[in-house]
Amino acid sequence: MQRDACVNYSTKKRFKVGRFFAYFFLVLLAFTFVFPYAWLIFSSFKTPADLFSTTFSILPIDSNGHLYFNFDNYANAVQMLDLGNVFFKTFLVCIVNTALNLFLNALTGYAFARIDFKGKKIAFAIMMATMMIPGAIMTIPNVLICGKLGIIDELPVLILPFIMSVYNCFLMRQQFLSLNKDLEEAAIMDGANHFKIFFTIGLPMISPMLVVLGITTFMWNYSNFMWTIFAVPTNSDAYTLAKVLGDLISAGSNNANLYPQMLAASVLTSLPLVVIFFFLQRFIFEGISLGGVKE
Amino acid sequence: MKTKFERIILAITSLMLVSCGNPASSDTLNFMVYSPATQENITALKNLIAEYSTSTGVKVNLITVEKENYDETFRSAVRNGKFKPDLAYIDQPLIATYAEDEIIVPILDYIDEWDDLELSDFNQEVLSTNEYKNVLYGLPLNMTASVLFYNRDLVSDGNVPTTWNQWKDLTVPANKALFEGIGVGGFAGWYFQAFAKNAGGEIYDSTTNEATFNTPECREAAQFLKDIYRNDTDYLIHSSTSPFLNGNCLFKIGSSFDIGNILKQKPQFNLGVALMPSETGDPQYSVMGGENLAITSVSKNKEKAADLLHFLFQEENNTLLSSFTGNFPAITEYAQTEDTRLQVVLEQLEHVVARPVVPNWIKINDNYLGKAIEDILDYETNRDIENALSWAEEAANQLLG
Amino acid sequence: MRYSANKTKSTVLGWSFLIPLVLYVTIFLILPIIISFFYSLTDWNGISDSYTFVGIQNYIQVLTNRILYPDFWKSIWTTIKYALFSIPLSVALTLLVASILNSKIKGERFFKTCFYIPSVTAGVAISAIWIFLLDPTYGVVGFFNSTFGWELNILGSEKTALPALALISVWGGLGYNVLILLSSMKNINPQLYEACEIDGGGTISKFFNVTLPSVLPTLFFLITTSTIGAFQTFDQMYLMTGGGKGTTTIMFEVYKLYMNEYEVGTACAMSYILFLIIAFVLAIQFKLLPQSGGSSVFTRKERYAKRCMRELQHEETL
Repeated sequence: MQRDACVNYSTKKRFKVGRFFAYFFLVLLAFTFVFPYAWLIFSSFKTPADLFSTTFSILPIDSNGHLYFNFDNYANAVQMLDLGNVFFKTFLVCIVNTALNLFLNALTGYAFARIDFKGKKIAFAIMMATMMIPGAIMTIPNVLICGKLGIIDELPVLILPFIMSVYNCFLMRQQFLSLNKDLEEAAIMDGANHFKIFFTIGLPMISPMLVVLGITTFMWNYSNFMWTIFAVPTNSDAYTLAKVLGDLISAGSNNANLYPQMLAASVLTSLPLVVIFFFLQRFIFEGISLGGVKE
Repeated sequence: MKTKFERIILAITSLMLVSCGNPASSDTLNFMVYSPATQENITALKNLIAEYSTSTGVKVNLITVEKENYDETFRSAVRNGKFKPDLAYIDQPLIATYAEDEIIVPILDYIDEWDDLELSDFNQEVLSTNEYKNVLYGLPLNMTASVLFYNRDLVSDGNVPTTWNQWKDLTVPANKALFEGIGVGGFAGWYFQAFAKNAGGEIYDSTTNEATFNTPECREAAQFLKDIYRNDTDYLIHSSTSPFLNGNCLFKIGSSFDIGNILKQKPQFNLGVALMPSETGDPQYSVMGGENLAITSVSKNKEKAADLLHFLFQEENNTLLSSFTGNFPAITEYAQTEDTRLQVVLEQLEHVVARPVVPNWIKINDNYLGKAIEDILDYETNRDIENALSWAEEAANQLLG
Repeated sequence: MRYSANKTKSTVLGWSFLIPLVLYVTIFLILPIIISFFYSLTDWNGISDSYTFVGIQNYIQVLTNRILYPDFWKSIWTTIKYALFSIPLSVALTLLVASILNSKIKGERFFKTCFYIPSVTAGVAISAIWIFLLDPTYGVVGFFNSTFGWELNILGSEKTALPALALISVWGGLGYNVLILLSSMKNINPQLYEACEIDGGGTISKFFNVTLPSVLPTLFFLITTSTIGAFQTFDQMYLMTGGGKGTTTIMFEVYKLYMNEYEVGTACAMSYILFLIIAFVLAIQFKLLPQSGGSSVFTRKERYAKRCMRELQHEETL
């Protein structure tokens, strides 16, 4: 008893100092993350003159020292990006791809984790090996392949080549492996086949991972820019936000006039992701503690 | 489980419906252009094209592409695009490459049919950059020359240098840089040609098809550039953004496009424009630029494309298109201006150097000549002039074959 | 009899689950690899209809022609330097942050959102921000330069450009890595921690005896993906320094070949060389680093902890 008390006392004291440093460190680190983004937001409201003034100030302060908010940049950005239409297309592509991606990868991950079949090890090894291949090798040939498939310059070209992802597949497999088999064994006794188990037990139980991977996949799709240069060269109906923003930034690097619009456009394109993440964050948080510890 | 499935099927179906848009009509002309910089100009361009469509009944699909990515986009479009360009802007150094690969077609035949325009109406120097192996592959829409910009608050009009010694010996106020620089990579290679010419040298010998970067004149030009870079004092300013525009630098090189840009960003900027200084002061050479149009080989409507081309070269249209970049129409008659600054550009156009019209020149320019100059002028790399230029020359000659 | 029928049945089932993967891998991974390899044996320039077959000339040229490809070996060394700097830093920082967040910190969600901000901001926008912030005349660095008379030239100096880019990529990837590692940490049985505490272990001991061994599979996964990512790094060089100031990586050289030099054949050859390098590095990692097959393999310490727990429970019931 006394020994426990001694142990508890010393750990408590060490804990307090340690916790202070922990908080301090986290806050400092968090500052380096928030500051650039805050700078981005405030700068998007500045006029070009203030943006390049040598007196560094975060807040947009005009010559009288008053705070101002120049919304012109945003108005221009919306017009230049044709934001409404492109927004819709981008979301369409991202949602469809994410949904298909999650579903197919979960299916595959489940198979690797729970079904015993011949050649499983080889298939898995090959799949993992493909991760090592540099993306550059694939770009031009993929463009050629997509050309043969007839999907260049159409929305499917932004979806099909990314419909599976080895990372996601691997992580899904890990999650399935770590699940407790009791429920599944009970279902098998009841005569369920693998399909049923996958849909009724497997998928729901890895929902935290589904949410996490859903977010990351969605965001990856959202920001996919280089591919669009090759894959969607001429059809403005299939432009995504990433392409349009990327174009604006390229233009801005040569023409400092466009810098403020570029910043405004960056904020506009980031905002939906931040919002989505903020709300789904709550879900992950709860999801992880639910699907977490088992005996 | 059912709802998930249903949702997915629904998504795929709707996606297919959305993407099965209008197939490309074979009577539509696809016109690929550099994206104009302002919304105003984009609208003006669209209106111009609409005007053409209404008067001729030919539908034109305007494809605007950022200049940065234009090349990759053009190539991808020509090979696999849904709307393969019929008429397109082509960057001057690529004309030789595309002509060699038969991506663009000779256009003399089409032009001969025009009665209101002759080849002799064009600025001949600019026109020659569109000729490969004595065949005309493109038409220059507009032209510009690079000139010397100076900050009139820091350099008085009387002190503007015309010779290299004058430029080198100018007194520079403290904490200011003398010269913003000639950029890196492709830009460095491009501008270097003018400096070489101003020292009396050439960088390419067309009779032997050899690069001549390592001549005494070129070395002199490189040394001069080093002198005006003043790396011990100016290196920090060189590393920051737009030093000239922000009043930290005395001189800059720019073209008509930059004049408009600077005045838009800082309307009160006291901008002076002068001819490019040369070693002796006379003649004063510079580089030229501009936009060229060509008809692609994948086009199924070459005649119609040539017709659109003809339309674009009418005086008002040509002037309008050129105004987007501040350049001058390449047709000498149309190239006029009241603006005193732009008149300097016009004057500079009388002494310009043309880039060699040789396939792969852009590769040589960007990755070898440009890189060599970059290494010579960089304050940390500080590569030996002879070493750098001889390397670039050897690489260029290996590529020229 | 029955066993083999079952095995066949499950084999068929297993492979039917795998159909999407097989289709995808064949069309978008295997096929491009073959096509790419084919092109690496030609001198295709990406746009013309004709090309000639040159065998392994491209490979030889890239590896030996110091006139036409002077930066190739330098770029390999640069990539290695970059990887050596960013991977350990990324792993260490992720571990540190994840462990702190795992220890019942207030505002965990707030911190996680902060760290995730770069992932939700477009990569190009982030580069634009950093270029500006690190500018020696404007931006934060400019502010320090003019106020304190420093002469910091972060992106413009060979000594600091590459480390700066590495730091920025660690910064950008922190959110994602922490998220993955943290979800793995949350799966650890808290009884293991209790067992360790009873044995007299403090925070540090808990970390090394419980946390670290349990997340080893995930950690190994993160290291592997970071390695693959680091060796393929390109975006930042392209956007922030244009490959200048000693920041040319192999991937950047490859893209230069694609986009500037129109040498698709040589670019493919170079990417295959890169592939071999990555395979080599990963093989070394597999040998050197402790890793699990991916399932729940307990280390000796964990088993010991579990045994202590059982003994304790046993004592209590007595």
